[in-house]
Amino acid sequence: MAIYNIKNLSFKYKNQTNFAVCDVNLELDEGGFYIICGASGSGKSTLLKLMKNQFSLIGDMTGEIYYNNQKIDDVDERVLVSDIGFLHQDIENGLVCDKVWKELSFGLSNLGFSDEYIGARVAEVSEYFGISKWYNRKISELSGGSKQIVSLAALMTMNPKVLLLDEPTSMLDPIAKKNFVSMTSRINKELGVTIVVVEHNMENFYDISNKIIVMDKGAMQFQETPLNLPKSLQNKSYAKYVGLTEFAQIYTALCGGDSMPVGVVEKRNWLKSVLKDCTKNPSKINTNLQNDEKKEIVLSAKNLYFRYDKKGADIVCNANFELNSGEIVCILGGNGGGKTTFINLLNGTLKAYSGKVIKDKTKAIATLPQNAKCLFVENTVKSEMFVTAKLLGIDKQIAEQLIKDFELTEIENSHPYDISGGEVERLALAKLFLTNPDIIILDEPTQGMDIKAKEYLKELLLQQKALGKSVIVVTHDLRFAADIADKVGLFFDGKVMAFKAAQEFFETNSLYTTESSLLTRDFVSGLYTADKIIDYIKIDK
Amino acid sequence: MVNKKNIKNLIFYIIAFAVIPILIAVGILFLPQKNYAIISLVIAILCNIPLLINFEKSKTNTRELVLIAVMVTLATISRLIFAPIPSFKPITAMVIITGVAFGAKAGYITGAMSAVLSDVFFGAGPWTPFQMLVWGLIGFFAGLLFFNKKLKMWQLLIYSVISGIVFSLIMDIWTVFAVDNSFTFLRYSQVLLASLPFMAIYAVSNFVFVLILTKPFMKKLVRIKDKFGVFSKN
Amino acid sequence: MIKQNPITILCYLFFVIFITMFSTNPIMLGISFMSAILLYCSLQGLKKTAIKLGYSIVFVVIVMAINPLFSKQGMNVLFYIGELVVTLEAISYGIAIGVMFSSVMIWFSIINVLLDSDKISYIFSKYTPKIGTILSVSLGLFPKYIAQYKKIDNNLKGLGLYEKVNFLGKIRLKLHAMSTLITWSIEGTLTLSDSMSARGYDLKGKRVFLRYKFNLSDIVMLLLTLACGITLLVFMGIGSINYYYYPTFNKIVWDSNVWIYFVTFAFMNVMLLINEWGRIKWQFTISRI
Repeated sequence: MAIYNIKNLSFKYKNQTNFAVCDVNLELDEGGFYIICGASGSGKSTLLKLMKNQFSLIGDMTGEIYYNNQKIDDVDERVLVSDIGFLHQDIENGLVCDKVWKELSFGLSNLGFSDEYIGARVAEVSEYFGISKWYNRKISELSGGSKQIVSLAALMTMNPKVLLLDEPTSMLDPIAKKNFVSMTSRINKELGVTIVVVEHNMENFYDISNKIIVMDKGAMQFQETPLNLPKSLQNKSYAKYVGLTEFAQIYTALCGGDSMPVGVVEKRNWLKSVLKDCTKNPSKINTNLQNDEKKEIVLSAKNLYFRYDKKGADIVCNANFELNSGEIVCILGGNGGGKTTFINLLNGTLKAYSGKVIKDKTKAIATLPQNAKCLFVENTVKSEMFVTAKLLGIDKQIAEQLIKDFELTEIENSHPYDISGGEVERLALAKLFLTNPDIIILDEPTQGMDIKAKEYLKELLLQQKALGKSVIVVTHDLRFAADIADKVGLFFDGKVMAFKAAQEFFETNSLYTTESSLLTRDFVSGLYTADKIIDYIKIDK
Repeated sequence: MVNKKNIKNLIFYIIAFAVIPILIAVGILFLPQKNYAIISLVIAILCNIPLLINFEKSKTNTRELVLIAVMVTLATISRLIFAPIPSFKPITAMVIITGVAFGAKAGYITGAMSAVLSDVFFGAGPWTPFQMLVWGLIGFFAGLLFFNKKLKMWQLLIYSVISGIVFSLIMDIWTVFAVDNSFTFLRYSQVLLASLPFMAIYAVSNFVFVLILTKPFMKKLVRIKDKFGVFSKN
Repeated sequence: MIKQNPITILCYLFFVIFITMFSTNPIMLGISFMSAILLYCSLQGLKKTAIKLGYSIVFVVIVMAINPLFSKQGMNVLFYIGELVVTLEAISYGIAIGVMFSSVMIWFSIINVLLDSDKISYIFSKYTPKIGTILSVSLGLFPKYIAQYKKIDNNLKGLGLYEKVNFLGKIRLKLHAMSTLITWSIEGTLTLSDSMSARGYDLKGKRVFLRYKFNLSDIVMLLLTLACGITLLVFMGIGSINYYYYPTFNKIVWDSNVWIYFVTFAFMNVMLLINEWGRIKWQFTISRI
């Protein structure tokens, strides 16, 4: 039975010329697991918000949404609240209360249930999610992943029929992502709750979904099972930006057959059969490790020790590090491991209590912090650039030039909080380049980015590298790291471990590595990213 | 325009500003022991109650409540941000701006709840009801005088200086009661003289912060008011 | 932690503080001070109590020294400092006021321990749900904003801006950081309020989930508090325990009224302590094991 029936739905925001959602027809079955994918600006989040019908979207809507065969405008508000759970992308502002127990009871008390009922229901849900021990804790003390689980649990107390999840894992590290995905899978399979996820990087959701709905420029293109999606995406201009898993991306690019292989063994065998015909030695086409002689050390750290409290534990402990000119280094590692502290030591924000950071004095250093959007202060993009320039004592003309260079001219009068994710990143980078840095440090730059924005960043960083500048990227996005890095290190136990060339790093690791490397390492070396495999086969042909 | 709602509001304000002080005056005249400290404390507590109830009964939607909560938190945090410089705090300026942007009721509740929130984190004391009342009233009158009117900066600046002085005066009355447990104008003037530098810092800091913060802050608040469609009436 | 309902605790502490503030009688002040210290000790341990006691003594000494400067009344002249007369009465009165305020401050510290943020927002939520919501949301936002401010400040430090500027420049940077925080927080309110509406905050007939119940022990204690409090107020009205320091100390007439008064006040002061006795005993048994 269809739980949602959407007919000819269109939506246009006030003061905008293009439709955000354009003539969408969609039927969702009860108990299904759906992904809505597409680049940012494809209208997927707007569609999801319209399905809950309780958000303040200012604009005009045409067409109809039926929930359980009833027009959504006619559905009782209480039913909307309890039946349809909505999870925000913005973890911080999606949570309302200060304590976990208040958060869990918030929805039920609004529905007017008795204290006894609420107490019992909250206890049951806490046990199901394994979060009973957090019951009395402050939400601010939890990690990002735990906060998102609490948000999910808070929705589940109300016994929802549908969960609408708006980019739920974009701010989480890989382990927390996997936890969250398996939790949603359990809710779907064990409780029969219909789940609709909006994501621009499907990754872990891909394999557990029933149907994938592809959107582009506000219009729904088609819906397809994950196994047949690569076939349907053939020759589509947006295929690259849908946000497939590595293998699905390779399969799509190489025009695979009708049905994509499932399971590691099948995938590996398929790749083996494709790569069998190739004649070149892959390690020869790998150009990452050339021109070693010309490089000079621009930044190095020797035996660094750091802690926040006198009595606390060392956050950074005997860390060593080296950065050459014209080199991109990625530092991987889970959240809360001290990666951000480490780069704050490198850029001089924090001072180590023992050990030394040696920097080439002629080189300027600039850092882009995590989630750069929250550092904007002005009312327009233009004045944001000018105010920062003034703060740094830099000429206005440089700011104007950077607005042009980073393609911000069109939106220079918009509010920085109203522009799209990719534009936010461009503005943040433009601000970073005001000082014309020689050493660029980026903290989690790809968080919440779609594929297009990632491509842009990749191009930019490679350009900078060609100019002889050095880049440090702190990230837990393994695919991005594999795409750009010359060297990779894993930050663990207060130091940079396994600091080596990217290829070696990904090919020797068996857990902290890319899917491509895992699938191909047995029979060929040097193909540790999806792009490398695709290029390799295409060149050969 | 006089309607039912306005009359109701008026009654609440009369209770807050007139009836209770009269009751207290009667108390002072007829109680055998003239314990001014406790009487002033009771006044402070009682004055807050009708204003709190008036806010509770008013029609406030979710967005307005959330915005007020945000303003309360920001005002409280501003105390922490400027912690290194004693007495030089933007909290009063933040309360004034909230009153100007969102109206008298929102101004009162932001001031009063900022006092409560501060005391949750920094410890409560007998001064809590006084702080609630003083900051609350500063926000209240800022709203009454400037909300939904064409903003003249010099008027607002005068208001901010006066509120700095009033804050100091009322807190000093409390100090005199507290230490002396009796009220003489001689004592009061002595304490005032001693606290003159603080009064000056309060007034100057209010002046400076209102001067610097009002323009950018109002821009942001007006943007959100338009976006949300909130606080259009008092 | 104390298991009593927050309303009972608030009511109890209000009466105790109220009556302590009304008292000038040295015996009353002694009772109040001793019980406050005992209760504080049972809640916070010996070390913190010692610190509190130290502060109190310093405060009492200061008030004792200052009072003769302003008050030239009193019959028993101790000595002269130049023109200034120092009397026994003035010094005693200073001590009494010092002890009174020290006790009040300790009672307030006890409020701070007993009424944590959960209990304060319970009191507001129960009678004024809207204000309760404001407090609850603010309590959640506070740590978020602190973390965010630190991040903004760190970023400014990372740009090397703090090194170049003087004192005024530092204030300007702080204002810039605050302005950034304001932009970020205000833009976040939309999601926050949408999240509340989506989970039914706008519905009619909503309630507040209250974790604290009113059980028999709360009712008993509340009634006892009210009974003691009203008794004390009545006696206070009669004026039978008024105590004067000027022109000289008045004699306490030990009649039945005074006895009832002191016993009631003493009982009231140690009520919470008795209530807590089980827990304290248990704590000491544990420490002995």
